[in-house]
Amino acid sequence: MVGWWGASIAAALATVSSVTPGTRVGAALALSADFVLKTTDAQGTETVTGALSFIPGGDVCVAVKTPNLQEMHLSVRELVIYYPERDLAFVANVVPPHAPPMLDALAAGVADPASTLPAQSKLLERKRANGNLLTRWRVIDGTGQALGEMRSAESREGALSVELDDKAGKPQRRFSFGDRVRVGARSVPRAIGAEYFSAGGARQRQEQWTLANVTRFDQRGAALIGCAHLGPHTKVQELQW
Amino acid sequence: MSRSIGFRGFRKRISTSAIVAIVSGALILVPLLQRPVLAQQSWAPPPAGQPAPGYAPPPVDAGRASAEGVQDADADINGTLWFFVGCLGVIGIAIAYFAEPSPPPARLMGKSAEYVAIYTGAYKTEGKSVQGRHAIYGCLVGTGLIVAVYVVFFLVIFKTANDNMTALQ
Repeated sequence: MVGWWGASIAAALATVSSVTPGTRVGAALALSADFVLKTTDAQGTETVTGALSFIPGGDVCVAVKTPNLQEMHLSVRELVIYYPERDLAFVANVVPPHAPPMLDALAAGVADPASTLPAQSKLLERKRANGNLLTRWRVIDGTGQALGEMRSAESREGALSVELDDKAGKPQRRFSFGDRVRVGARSVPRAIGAEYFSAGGARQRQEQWTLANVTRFDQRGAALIGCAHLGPHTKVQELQW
Repeated sequence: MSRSIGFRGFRKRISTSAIVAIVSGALILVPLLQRPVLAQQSWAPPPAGQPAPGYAPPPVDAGRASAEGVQDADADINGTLWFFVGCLGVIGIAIAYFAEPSPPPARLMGKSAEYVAIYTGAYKTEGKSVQGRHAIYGCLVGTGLIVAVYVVFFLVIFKTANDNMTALQ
């Protein structure tokens, strides 16, 4: 797995989700949507449906409706998985160097591809083709070690595709984004395809996300759906992370 | 004199390599010995408090959750990376066994509590095992290469010294 990606994409999402002094509030990522996630791997195809929210600050809340009622709260320091029917919660504390838990495919769709790279990464190529911007980066970590390459294609609306390859040129992750809609100042893809490859380059898992009813999330008015609010009697179990 | 110092250095290097081999062997054996113990453990869900009438936790195929955790960890862990970490020696192996890999949260979405617990445990156990195994290979190969380089180095010194002695005689 591309270890650096998890931390980078979470940091990039936190950046687009943060409301910093001097920036417009509308620039921060804050949205709610219904989702359908189809996952295909060696075990077959599974479909998960529910609703999710990106909250300013970088937190993500997910309310899964099928196949099992579940709420997930993903934040930089903690992952909470709550089962409302059983009032049972798994709580995982995330301590560095562990990457914060993140829904990579969704985060990659709303973040600028270049912002997900380590600072030392080098631009190898940038060209225009059919009105799209094609970019190739050499990914270099903090110690100066080359980790691989990232290729992205971007239109005016946002990223069309992002591919991460290892040093040998074998694909590790491939994302495609389509059917974008503007939410506040952000462009959000409603159709997201993600392919995950094993270290040897074989395709291991495929995700297809479809978002509907994408609206700007209003923290003042809306209840925090899916944010795993634990009650005083909730049974809490620690989940090793 | 120099031959004596060289021989002592060689002995010291051999003894260091032997210690590394013993530690590596122990680190291989410990997880192997743990497996039968883990296999006998069962994950029991916590008491469900006051469940709704007629409600029962959905049955979970523990074998499937465990197998999927193992399979995903095998596919996710970059063995080459951990091989090179192992080249750092015992420190690299220790890092490999202490650094716990975590499954992507998307894989836990919509899964039952029992599945999440079993899958996560299996993923982490297998992930650490794979990391450690590759780090040990890296350590052994690295140590082997260093030993080989030292052997060649001392053979060259020994041969040069022998030639000089023969020339002097």
